[in-house]
Amino acid sequence: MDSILELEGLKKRYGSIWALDGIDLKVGEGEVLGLLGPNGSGKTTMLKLIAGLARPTDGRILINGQKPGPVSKAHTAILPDVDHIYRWMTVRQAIDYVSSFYEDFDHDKARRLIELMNIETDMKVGHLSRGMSERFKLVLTMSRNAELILLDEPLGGIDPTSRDKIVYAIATEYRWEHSAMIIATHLVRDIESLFDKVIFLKSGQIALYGSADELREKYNESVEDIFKEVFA
Amino acid sequence: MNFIKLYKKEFIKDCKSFAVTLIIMTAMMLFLYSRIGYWTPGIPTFILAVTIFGFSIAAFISGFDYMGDEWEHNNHYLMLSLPVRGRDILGAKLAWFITEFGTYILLLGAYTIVVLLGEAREIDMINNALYSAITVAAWRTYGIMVLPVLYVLATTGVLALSSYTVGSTVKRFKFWVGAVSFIGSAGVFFYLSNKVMEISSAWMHVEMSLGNILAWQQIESALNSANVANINLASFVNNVVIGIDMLALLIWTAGFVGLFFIASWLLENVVEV
Repeated sequence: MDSILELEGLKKRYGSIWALDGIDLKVGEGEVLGLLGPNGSGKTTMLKLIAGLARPTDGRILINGQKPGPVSKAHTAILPDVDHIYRWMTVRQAIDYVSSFYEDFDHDKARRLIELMNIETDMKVGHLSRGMSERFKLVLTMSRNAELILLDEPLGGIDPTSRDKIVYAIATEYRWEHSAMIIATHLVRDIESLFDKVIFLKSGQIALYGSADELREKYNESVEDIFKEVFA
Repeated sequence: MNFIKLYKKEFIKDCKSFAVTLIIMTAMMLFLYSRIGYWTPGIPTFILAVTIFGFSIAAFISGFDYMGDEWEHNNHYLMLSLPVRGRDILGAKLAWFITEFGTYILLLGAYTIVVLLGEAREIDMINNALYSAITVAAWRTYGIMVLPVLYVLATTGVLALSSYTVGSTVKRFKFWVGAVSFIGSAGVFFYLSNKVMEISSAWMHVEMSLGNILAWQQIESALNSANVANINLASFVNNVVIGIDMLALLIWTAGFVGLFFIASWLLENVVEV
């Protein structure tokens, strides 16, 4: 399996605090990696560095052999944990704007996802409810057949009743089989069925890493229970 | 082209306020034009001239907002995640800044001349010959000012956008870092352009006679033929010139182009969300 993402000795410091402290990782094609950890463990920082939204203090990031930059960004889709879409745009305008920059944007998939998520395309982004706004961000990200998909707390603002439907959609119908996906979350239970591998981040360092199935077998419990033990 | 897509986004964002401002400007000009003959002569022209000044100040201040708006609403996450070069982002913002304020200032300038000429028409002592001389002078001045206005707007935009970008490279004291970058860059360019003017050769100093620009000869002969007064404008005709030192202009231009590309590089390689 080819590596889409390689991290070598990745470090990031904010002032005197090390948000990430020596991360080595490889993510292969078609793999789904769960990036798990409590708030402040470095999950968001790691995704920002990979997406080229922040610069490492030390270490190396390679996405298909390229350092993060305009070329790698064309193949990387990120769902950040903030509302980043222009509030003055309508949903339709936002889709047109974002899609115009990416060759891998699939308009058919966007249409189906908009229906699934029950979003009005004539509404202004600023008028969307919190949950709808989260779902719309997910639509923009998942409509791309990107090689690397980065989701930061994708279920954060979504009500529990919709979560299963969305998780199922992400996992099956709407996922491009060749894309590697990293999902940063602390809502492990709702999403753990998606993970091929998991990485537990604690104070910017890897506390535990391995295949989700092997870890379940080894500890004889769910990933969520392992999460609770590691971060107890 | 990414630049076009980004420019289009800036246009769509501001097109409503842009159109409303143009409508208000036109309504204001028509209103002031209708007051000619009712208000004290000079007041309608003065109000429009003050409005131009106001828009110039607004351009200077809002240059920072073109970038600042992205940070204010977390839209910089989207902007920086797009597969585009820093120069496309800054270039699109700069182009829209020049389009928007260039249109405002040049349109207000044209309206001011229309009102000024309307007021001149109302003055009894101005005969047809003098009126046409004033018309030529006013529109010639306007034509000559178009390029300098756009140039000054471009440099103001580059300075504002680049200093905001420099400020965005740090997590704390953004304002002060941006302010130092703004004042520092402008100061260096002023110093260098003053220094090079001392050494630049005479042929690099391009001069235009004010007499030619303002049609003094026509104005003088119109005044004299109407026996309004025996006026000699020879000193204006012969002695007053507007000079541009090409070497100093080159320094400014090179400086601002350099600043633009440094800011583009910072946006692409240093600025973080």
